[in-house]
Amino acid sequence: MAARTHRLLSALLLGSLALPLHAAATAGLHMHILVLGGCTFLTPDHLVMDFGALNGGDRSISAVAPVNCTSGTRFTVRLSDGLYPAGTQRQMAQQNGSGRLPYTLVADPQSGLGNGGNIDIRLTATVRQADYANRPVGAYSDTVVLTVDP
Amino acid sequence: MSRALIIPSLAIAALLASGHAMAASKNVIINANVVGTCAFTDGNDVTINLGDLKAGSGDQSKTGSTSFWCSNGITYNLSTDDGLHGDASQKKMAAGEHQLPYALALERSTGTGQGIASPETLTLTATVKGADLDVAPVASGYSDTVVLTLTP
Repeated sequence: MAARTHRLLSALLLGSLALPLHAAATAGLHMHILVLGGCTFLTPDHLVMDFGALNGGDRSISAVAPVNCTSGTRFTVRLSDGLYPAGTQRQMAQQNGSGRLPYTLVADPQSGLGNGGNIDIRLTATVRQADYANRPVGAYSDTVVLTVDP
Repeated sequence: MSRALIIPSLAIAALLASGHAMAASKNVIINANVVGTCAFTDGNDVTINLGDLKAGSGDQSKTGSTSFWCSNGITYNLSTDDGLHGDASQKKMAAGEHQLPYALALERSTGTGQGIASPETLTLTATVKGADLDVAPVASGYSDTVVLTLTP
């Protein structure tokens, strides 16, 4: 979606640039150009956060998703509840079983003002020993959608 | 000429139609491995005191206990070493140059973990045979130290 939005904006700008060159031959035509603010992630790939082996203590891991928002655009950051939530509690699912592993995921910042440059959205995931120590042994995973509006 | 104008018009229409879809999204994949582990619930030593032993009193036993937990679903194993004075066939307490054979039995040597919220108690039983007592040199302070190992 981000890539498509980018292409549309490009087409819009090209159109506006082309307009004055032909203006003399199209008398009476009025053109309204709408400039929309937006945000795009700098890397298109998904982001992987791996706790590795949980073998003691509460654990937190972080990852950064750089985002670029047009200057002056107020943006907000959203995280979906993931694929296996219990209410609003995010959970990873055991890949070869029915186990569920609760965890938390927070984004920082959760909102801000675009400056045309790169802004790092830092994600921090935390799992507590009290939660994983009772879970069946195995690999766990979840997928959350990180969205930056607009 | 007219084509050059149609293209931006369509672009505007598409942008307006997309509305809230003008947001950047990215999948975040969170992975973890819950690995098997075990731990004793405290770091205290287990002391089994056989008290005063007398010749002619038959086999004598006393017990001690400890507790531990293992990750849910994993198989654990418990074992002891030979102690300070024994070998693979026989453990021995010692008092100076004197030695007294004994046996140390574990309530179980394997099992399935139930998670940290469900610690298990393990009873250890030390036994001195009457036949060994009957020939043991009289001495105080027969003692041995054995290492109990829980894996993984």
